[in-house]
Amino acid sequence: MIMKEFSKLAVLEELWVKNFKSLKNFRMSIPSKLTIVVGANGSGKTALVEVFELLTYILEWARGLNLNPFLKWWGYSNVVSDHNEDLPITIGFKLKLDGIERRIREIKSDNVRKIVRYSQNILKPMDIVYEVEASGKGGRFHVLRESLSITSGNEVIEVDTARNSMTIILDVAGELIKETYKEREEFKRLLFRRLLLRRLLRDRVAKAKALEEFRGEIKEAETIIEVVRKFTSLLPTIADVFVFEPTKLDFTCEMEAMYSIFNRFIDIVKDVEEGLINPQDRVLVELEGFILGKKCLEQLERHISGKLVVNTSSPAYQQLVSENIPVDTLLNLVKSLIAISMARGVLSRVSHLLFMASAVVYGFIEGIAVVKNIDWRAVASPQVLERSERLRPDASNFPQFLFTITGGSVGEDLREALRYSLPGYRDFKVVFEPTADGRIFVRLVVDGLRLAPISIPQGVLKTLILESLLKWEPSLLVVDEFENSLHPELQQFLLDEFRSSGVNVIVTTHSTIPLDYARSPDEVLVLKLVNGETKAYRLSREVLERLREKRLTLSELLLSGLLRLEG
Amino acid sequence: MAPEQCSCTCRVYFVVDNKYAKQLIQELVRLFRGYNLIGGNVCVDVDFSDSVNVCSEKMGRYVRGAVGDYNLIVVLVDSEGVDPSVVRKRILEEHVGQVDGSSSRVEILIAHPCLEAWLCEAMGIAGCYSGTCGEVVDAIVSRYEGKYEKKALKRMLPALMVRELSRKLGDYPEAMRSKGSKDELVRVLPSQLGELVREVNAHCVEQQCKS
Repeated sequence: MIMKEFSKLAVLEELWVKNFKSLKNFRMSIPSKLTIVVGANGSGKTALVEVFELLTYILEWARGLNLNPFLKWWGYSNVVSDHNEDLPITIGFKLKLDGIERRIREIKSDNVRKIVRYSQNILKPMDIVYEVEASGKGGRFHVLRESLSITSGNEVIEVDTARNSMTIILDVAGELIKETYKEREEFKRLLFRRLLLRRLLRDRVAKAKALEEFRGEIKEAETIIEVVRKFTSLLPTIADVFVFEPTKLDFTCEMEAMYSIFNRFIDIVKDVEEGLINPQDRVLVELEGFILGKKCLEQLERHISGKLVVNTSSPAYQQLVSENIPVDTLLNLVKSLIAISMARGVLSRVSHLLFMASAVVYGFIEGIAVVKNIDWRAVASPQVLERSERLRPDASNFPQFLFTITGGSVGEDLREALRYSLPGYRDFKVVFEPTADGRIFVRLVVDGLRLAPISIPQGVLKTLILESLLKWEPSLLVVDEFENSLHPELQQFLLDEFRSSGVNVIVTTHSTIPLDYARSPDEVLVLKLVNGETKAYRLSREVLERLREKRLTLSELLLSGLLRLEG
Repeated sequence: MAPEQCSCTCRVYFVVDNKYAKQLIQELVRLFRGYNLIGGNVCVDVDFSDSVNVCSEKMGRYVRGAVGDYNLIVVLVDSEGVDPSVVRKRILEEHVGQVDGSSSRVEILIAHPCLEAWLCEAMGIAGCYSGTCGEVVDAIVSRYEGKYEKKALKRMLPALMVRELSRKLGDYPEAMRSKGSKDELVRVLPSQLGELVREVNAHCVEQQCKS
């Protein structure tokens, strides 16, 4: 569960879905941390909640923990729009990554923080878009396509598994010459010693040594060594001879066949989880591997080489010409070396960015918590004492989950939340009690009154469930029919808690309480079924004016029919 | 505990914009009653609205509904970083101004930048009212040396406030003996809270309340 720490770097900005139940072509923006989703029965609220559930199941499938994510719905035909199994279901979302320094401070895992710090120089504000297309046709689950794109300013990196291709658009290609060549003095020296000298001299020196009588050859070789020495001293000048035209690198390369973006990533995930990755020496090696093989590197080398031109009017070129060296031959060699260096530089940066984007996406999906149709009987039942790293949507493993996240001791911060759910009591304790057969259950003790789980009011248990999820720090908390079992005041308290937690929260509701407690129209999303299809409507700022003018609350305005919703 | 000898009852109605404020005031009223800081011979009954947004029409309705029945109506809201005078003006113009009889009975109290600033002041931290709410929370959390998480601080606020104030006030009646008077004790409180206590006491005098 450590990967969800990466999701703290980003916030969810947009979600789109195709062909999932009534969400046939659905798109919603998420402008605020809390989203209150309202709509009539059958308008698609629960389908929206289930989209997030499905995402977590797809990740489980990628990790080999779930054979068929659609089984939860008793088969594909029950979830795909119009029961048409020929249609694929598409889920996509956009995460915004910014305010890196502030967000890094939120990361609790040392291991993850270390990796992020190591990557900090490449992490500029960016949009990360992930899309997955899946089908369950024929009773088997297939991921048909995944795509991941990173957009930062004018730079774009895009991977698509269906096309087995990667597109790189970098606006700073010109700068990269300096980055990858000029500023890497050490690398440059090594490269020249190892590659240039070897290339130039290997054949001739070997031949000359074998045939000692050809002293002339050796002499010639020595001359070349002298030239190369001189040439090396002129390196800073040579770097200025080349220009990359055009300055924008726009390149698409073919990759090795990809099964899944996460499939390649999962080994790295395991290493991160087990603390095996040392960012200083391991990550980049892994990243080179992550970047989809040698094929792309070779293609990029050729592409760059074709774009590198000698600027013969540059002072640097003029200076070289004035030296007594074979300029053209040597510049050709240098060009290929620059191309190698640039291609490696570009791919190293690209793969590093892809790694971080994948980590954020993976962490986001892993960190999604859904609460839907709580199984109260299971919540109240004793359970075998074993770790549960995530809470099931029906909260049926709640005692295990609570035990896991609290380490068996429910602290003051969680207990204090219960004070709001049971007004009138002063002292609260939550304890795990063993049964005779060694299982555990949650007992609440209020002012000395010992409440067995079956006697704990459901609103109190629901508060405990939601508060424990906030403590777990999900990337997104999605609560279906939020108001169930909750007194209006408790609903308000939990909405306050969602806001102050800083967690992205989506609640669906039929209650007017959350609606009237929205801090701004941005927090409200209205769903409507139009021709069998769910449409999302946002409220504009003008709604505030209407509220003032009509002297109504938001719920009154919505129910009055006086508000025309426009998509 | 202070003696409860009420010659009459004074009713105070709080309109709050979040649940933490309600819980905080409930806890503080309980604490202040113990120190006999509010009411004295007059019993102070406190009621609360549900939480309402500053921009909500409900705020005006609640004030209108309460104005005939309560001795004092306190609108307590967080400024959320907005200039308190702007928030006050907005509440007055949109919700309170039109209510007859509101000028003498309604007190608008704006916690700036947020309620946590009261705890911050009670803990003796400087500059609690000049930074952002995030900065105030950071200062408090760091004073508690990580014992409480930033995210949990809001819900912990009532409990922590009572703890800090109890420590500052000391035991009753020893506190009263050492400070000499109720006014001296009130001075120990964070400034806005002291203001609130004085306001309640000014409205809850025997002449104005009902037996």
